[in-house]
Amino acid sequence: MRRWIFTLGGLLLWAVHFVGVYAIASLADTVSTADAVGWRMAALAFSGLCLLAVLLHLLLAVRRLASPSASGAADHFMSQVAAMGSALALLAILWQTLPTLIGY
Amino acid sequence: MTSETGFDRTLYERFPTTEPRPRDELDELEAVWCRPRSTWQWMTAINNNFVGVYYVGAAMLFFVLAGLLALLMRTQLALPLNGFLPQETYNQMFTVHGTAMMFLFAVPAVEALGVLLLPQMLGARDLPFPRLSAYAFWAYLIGGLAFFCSLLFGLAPSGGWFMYPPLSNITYSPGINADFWLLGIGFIEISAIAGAIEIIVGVLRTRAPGMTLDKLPVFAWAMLIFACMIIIAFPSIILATTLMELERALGWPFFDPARGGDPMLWQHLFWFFGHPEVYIIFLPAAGAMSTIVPVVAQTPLVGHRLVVLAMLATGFISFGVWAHHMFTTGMPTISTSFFSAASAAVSIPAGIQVFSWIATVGSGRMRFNTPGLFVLGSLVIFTMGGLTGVMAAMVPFDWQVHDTYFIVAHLHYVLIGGMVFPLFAAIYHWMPMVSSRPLSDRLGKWAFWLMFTGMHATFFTMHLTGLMGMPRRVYTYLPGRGLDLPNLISTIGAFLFAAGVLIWVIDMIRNFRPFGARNAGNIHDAPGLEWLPNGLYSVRSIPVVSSLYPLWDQKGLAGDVEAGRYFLPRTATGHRETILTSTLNAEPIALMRLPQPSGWPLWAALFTAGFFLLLTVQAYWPSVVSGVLAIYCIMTWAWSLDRPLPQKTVDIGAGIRAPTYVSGPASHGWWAMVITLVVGGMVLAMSAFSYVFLWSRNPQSWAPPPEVASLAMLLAMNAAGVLLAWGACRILRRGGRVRAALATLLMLLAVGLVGGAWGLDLSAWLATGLDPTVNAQGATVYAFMAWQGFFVSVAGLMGLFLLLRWMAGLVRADCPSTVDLIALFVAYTAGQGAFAGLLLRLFPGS
Ligand code: HEM
Ligand SMILES: [Cu+2]
Repeated sequence: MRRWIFTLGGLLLWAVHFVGVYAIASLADTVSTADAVGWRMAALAFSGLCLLAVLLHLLLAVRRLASPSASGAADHFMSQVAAMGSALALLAILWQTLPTLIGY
Repeated sequence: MTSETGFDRTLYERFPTTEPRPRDELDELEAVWCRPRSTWQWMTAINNNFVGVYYVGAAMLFFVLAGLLALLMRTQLALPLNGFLPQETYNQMFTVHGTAMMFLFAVPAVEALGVLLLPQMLGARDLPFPRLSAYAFWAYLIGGLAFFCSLLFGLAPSGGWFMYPPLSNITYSPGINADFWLLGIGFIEISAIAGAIEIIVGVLRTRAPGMTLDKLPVFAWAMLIFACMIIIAFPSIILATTLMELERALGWPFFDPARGGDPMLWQHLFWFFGHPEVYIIFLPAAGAMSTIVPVVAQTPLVGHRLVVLAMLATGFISFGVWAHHMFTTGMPTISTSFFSAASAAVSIPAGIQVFSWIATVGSGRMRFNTPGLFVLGSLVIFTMGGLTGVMAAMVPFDWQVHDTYFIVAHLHYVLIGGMVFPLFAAIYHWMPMVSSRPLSDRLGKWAFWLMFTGMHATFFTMHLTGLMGMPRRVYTYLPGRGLDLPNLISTIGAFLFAAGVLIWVIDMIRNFRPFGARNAGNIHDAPGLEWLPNGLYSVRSIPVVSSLYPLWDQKGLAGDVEAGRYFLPRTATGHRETILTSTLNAEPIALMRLPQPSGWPLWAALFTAGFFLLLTVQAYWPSVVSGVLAIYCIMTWAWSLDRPLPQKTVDIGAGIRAPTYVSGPASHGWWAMVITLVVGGMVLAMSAFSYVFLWSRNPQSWAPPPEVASLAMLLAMNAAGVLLAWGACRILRRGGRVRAALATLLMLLAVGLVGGAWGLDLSAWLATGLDPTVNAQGATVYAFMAWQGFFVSVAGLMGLFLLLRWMAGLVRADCPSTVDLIALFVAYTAGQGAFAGLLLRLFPGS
């Protein structure tokens, strides 16, 4: 299980991010309006947090790829998928943060 | 390289073995995996070589049937104000066409392809639960045919394939037509989930030794992700159809705004399933493409790892875009922007795959045989559909084209390019493996060109019809608005397409020769294990895999496998069997015994179908009888499970010994149970979403919950239930007859406690006087109660089953799996009860 979570880490964080921003906007919509400034700042902070986490995961995965102790082809494969997944997630989260800044 | 299971991987060096094989070995293997003889045996066959072919065949049957409906519709639309079909019939036809294409063709077809190909591709003798595949197939066939027949009686649903309320509620759809959709589709989803469980466990646990994840064929990756997506997405539609049926039958107002419900809830639940569904259809097809492209180009797939990542990413993002089907419903701008951004992001993983295929085709020597043509056609069509998809992801544009023929064009481009053409490529490609004769390349090319031209003629034109403002789902249109010519062209195109399909049917009749002793062999020089020489027992011996493209890289593999020089060259125990391996590195763990054919899955499917169908036509008592019979069949089927063999360990080849029985997380049954519980957990999560969503629409109408004292009791009883269930597993393992009796007793007590907790919760709610028909709170609260009640009843049945097994002396320390699995189920039920208790009482509070 731990290996899978590591491999899918970036993608999981990506999912956490998009579900999170939807939830924040819906919550804001119930409490005041979906694009109220305070709520948008909260969403921005949340996106920032997710970005940081993904960045961290990316670094971890890259380090693991570089370390010679990496054992076996399957391990290498999983680390590669983890790193590429984080890179993709990084881009995607950046892109999906834009609505908080310009798309409301 | 560290080992995952403690298996010593230097043992692989013993293969291929060199000593001569005993002569009668092969005869024994053939006897155990023998062909069916009587009609009954053909129907109760469970081996994937048979069920897989039946399954693909049934899916293609529904493709042709739904295609005939499309022709009828196009005939009606050929001319303005045409009187070929009455309005109501047209409505039923587009609904059945869409529903059947999505639920009876697309998903089952790819699932069937998985059942047919995966065992051979992974070097297994069969999937881990062959009887479950048989059950899934028969349930699907019977349910699907009944659904289709409703059209003949004018009883077919007419609300479109997404059945939006209020159109589909009892006021606007008073007959039983909508119930056919709700119960029929709900039922077929069960079959899809059964298949998904089979596929996940199969891919993760029955791979040939040495097939580590980096050597897992890309098609198997696709099927794995596909199956996981089914497990996560389909519970949402099961919940949605159940709620809608409750509203229609009992008047519980989930979707009725007059009583605090909200039709938007349906749209959320439907599309949380519906969008992933599109990728559920696309992924396996893309996996097939990624397998076929390297073969037609005779070179490894460019960027295999990126493609795997892209498929994983597609799986994830597909759960984040559902509301792009709801851009015109008045969601807040910021929310639409989020969904629009997410939808545009989908194009990255899709793009990665398309570019990988193009690069592979470019770097090899492309062969323009029939599969090659279908592959190229698919690329062209899918890319065009993807482009209109990105257009529709732009909110202002979507406002213009929503519900016009532009969307009809878009959806057919992606579905036909992303699924139908790859499927035809797959059929032409893998036919030599299934049939003793390949299909004709000449006829195949005719089929391709007709389908390709017909497709563009029909649907490219529809972009224009849509931009000119023709709404979708209309049975006719007025002359003189510029719509006449494009519609006529579309109709002609549809018939061209149909002609292509007809040629394929003729080709099948002429050349398809399945179930023979031999197949046509590896005529494409393809690299996958499925092209090893094989018989009904799959491969003669299970190879050690050391490459992603074993037949290209491991010289002499086919000969050695056929000579029995690898794992399991015989039947080790005299039963059907395969090797159970570990998830990451595919190290052999145990010998898995596979069942013999039996009629129980067939009967169980028949009676489950009977239960749902009789319910639809409101024959309640016969339906109950059918349900009870279904339970009886399933129990009888389960009765033969979990029987240890007299041999504790056996030689699985080259003197390597493996146990014949494992329990706990190492066993395949444990995995199946956990995945089933994930399905339950997803339904629970979606129910919680529905509850909070409906609350947010009408917070003022929420009545206070029962007093908190009942909550403490509820939690305590459920916790005690978990504890006892766990205790039962522990005690049983310590051995002895008394302990076996004690374990049984503890488990029964656990079931009783969890059931009691539910009764307590229910009576607390009843005491508050909350009425399910009055408002949305009542409806959702009692929906939770009903769901938990269902789990409690199943737990009760399991308790009964355990009692019977104990009386038969089958509850023993040497076969703890049954008790383990029941404990898992009881513990989950307790957790679910506790969760519902907490949510309903503490949110939003008093
Ligand atoms: C050449 C073959 C096909 C033709 C001529 C065709 C034609 C049509 C027509 C005429 C409609 C109704 C449009 C309307 O009135 O709004 C329709 C709807 C639809 N089709 Fe097809 N179709 C074909 C293949 C497929 C395939 C292969 C799939 C899926 C795998 C599919 C899925 C759908 C869906 C989901 C709808 C929407 C139904 C609804 O509005 O509820 N079709 N098609
Ligand atoms: Cu969608």
